[in-house]
Amino acid sequence: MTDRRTRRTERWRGVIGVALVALTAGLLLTLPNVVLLSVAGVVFAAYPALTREPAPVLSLERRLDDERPGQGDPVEVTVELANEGDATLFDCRVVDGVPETLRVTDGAPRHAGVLRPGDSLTFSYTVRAERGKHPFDPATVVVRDPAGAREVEQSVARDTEIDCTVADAAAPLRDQTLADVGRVTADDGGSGVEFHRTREYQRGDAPSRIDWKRFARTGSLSTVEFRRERAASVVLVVDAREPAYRGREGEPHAVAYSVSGARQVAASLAGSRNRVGVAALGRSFAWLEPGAGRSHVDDVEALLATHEALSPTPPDGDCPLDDQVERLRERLDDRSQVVLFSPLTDDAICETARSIEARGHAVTVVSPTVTDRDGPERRLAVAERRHRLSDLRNAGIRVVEWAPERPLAAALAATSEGVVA
Amino acid sequence: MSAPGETVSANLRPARLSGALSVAVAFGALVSLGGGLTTVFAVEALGLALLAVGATVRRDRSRPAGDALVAVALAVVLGALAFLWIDTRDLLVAARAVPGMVGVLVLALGVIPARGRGSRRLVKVGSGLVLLSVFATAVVLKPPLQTLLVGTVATVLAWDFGENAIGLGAQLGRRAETYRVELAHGFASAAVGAGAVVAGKTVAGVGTPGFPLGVFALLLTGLLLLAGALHD
Repeated sequence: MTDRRTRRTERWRGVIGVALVALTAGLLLTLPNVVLLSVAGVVFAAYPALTREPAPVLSLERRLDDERPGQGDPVEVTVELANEGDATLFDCRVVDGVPETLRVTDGAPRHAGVLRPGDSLTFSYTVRAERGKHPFDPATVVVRDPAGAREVEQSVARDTEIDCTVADAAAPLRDQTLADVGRVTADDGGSGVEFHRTREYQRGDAPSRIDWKRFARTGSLSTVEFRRERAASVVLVVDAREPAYRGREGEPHAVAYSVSGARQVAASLAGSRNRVGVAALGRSFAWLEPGAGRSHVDDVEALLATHEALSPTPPDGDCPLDDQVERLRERLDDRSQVVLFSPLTDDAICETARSIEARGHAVTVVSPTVTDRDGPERRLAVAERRHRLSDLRNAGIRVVEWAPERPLAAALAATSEGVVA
Repeated sequence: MSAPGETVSANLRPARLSGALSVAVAFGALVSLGGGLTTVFAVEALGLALLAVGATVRRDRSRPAGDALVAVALAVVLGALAFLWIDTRDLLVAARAVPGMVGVLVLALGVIPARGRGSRRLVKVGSGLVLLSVFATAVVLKPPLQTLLVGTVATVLAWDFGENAIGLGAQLGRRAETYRVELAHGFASAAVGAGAVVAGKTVAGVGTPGFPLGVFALLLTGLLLLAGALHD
């Protein structure tokens, strides 16, 4: 239970005015009955003072009928809000913190009730599961006194997560392809400890690397190559500037998809040898140094889930992109590769991708498709985006178009096999 | 308040029960003032019912059909006003009935919006007009104090319910189940209203014969200032 804010609604203030009008009118017209009407006004004006400011002590329980659903499955969420305090809450309104990447398909994540001490209210609604992990945000609860003069707003947290990452037959390539997303160059053969391949002997190869058993069997010289130990670091950059907060009517915006995509890539890179870092360009610059290991994975998750730059609501003001890109460049080391998640809604972000590529970092752009299919302005936006995509491809940048209703792994596999590109 | 992931339209229109109660109570305030006019009020009630149906149809079924119904509803209310004038041809009757009749309509437009999420301003203006009718009746008909107190309290309650309906609608919307909260709020306000009527009658019984009106008014002003101070 965190920040509690009390707001005075001042909704009864107007009654004083009404009473004054009655008073004046009654005096002017010398009608005692009209003067007496202001007594009613006094009673209503005093009403809020007779009620106490609510001090809610609440706990929240959230149950899912399926914690590991498949893509597109309906998940019924049941929320139980209990009054743990010893005062009755006359007007308790709750809005559940539905993950921004999920859609409510049935019922409403909102409810209101009167809660006596020890009582609880229960409501349920249904969301459609999408690929990825979806942690719930804290529920927002507003408690009003009976007069409605004061309202106390607070959030009630309960860690719940819908985990829709079960691999299915549609995406068998998932892990390999996701790990491959940054063109991880450790695939080159060379010296190391892990077997990579054998190739024909070339003059100058070290004798210790010659496959002598094979020579004894076939009489031809071949050289064993090992996987080169050169773990790359991959920096996942999320475009969270104001223009990136675009989405189809009634669906999550691109930033939500980008964060979800970054989470998926980070999770699969964690299984490989590569180091993962995260950056966000938005209302502020977010940065997490590339690293590996379990605790680092947690840090990545935490940054993606909670950093203010990746908030579900668009920033109000301007985001100084140049400055943030400069800070990003300073932090990238020579071997860092960049995966940029962006809906590519403007030219500035394309310029950013090109400039990072020009500095010698391999850049992959993963672009969730959020432009609508119809409507004339939409058509223009689609055309502009297509133009930007081909621009980037011409600059040698690998571009992955990702329709968010499909798994990201499938989109990556399609591009790496040249189906889409 | 908003649920970030809730992308299905939350339908943030004023809560149904409180909205309906608000209009009903405002209408009741008007009727309780008395003075005949039964037919006129009946026609207006018909118009208000049509307005509610029209707004719902417009939103949920068919927009043109809803628009047509809303237009018919407005025409019926205008018809009631015209009928009032034709029937009585009395300026005094018009002065006490017309503000209230228009007020109830304005209030209804505030809590049963054909589009948008309702308007606190319309609710305020509407109940203000009904209150104007109460004052006008006090001047024209000079009814007993209780009638006036009930009319005033009912008007305040109409505003309270309407404002609450809009607030609930904005925070939770119509898909949420809110009727318990609405009833609790309604009962609490109604109880205070009953207290206000009793208080008014008590004060009248104790005070007015002895006090000059001016002294009495001064006393009430002091009380009001005190009540105002409690709000800060």
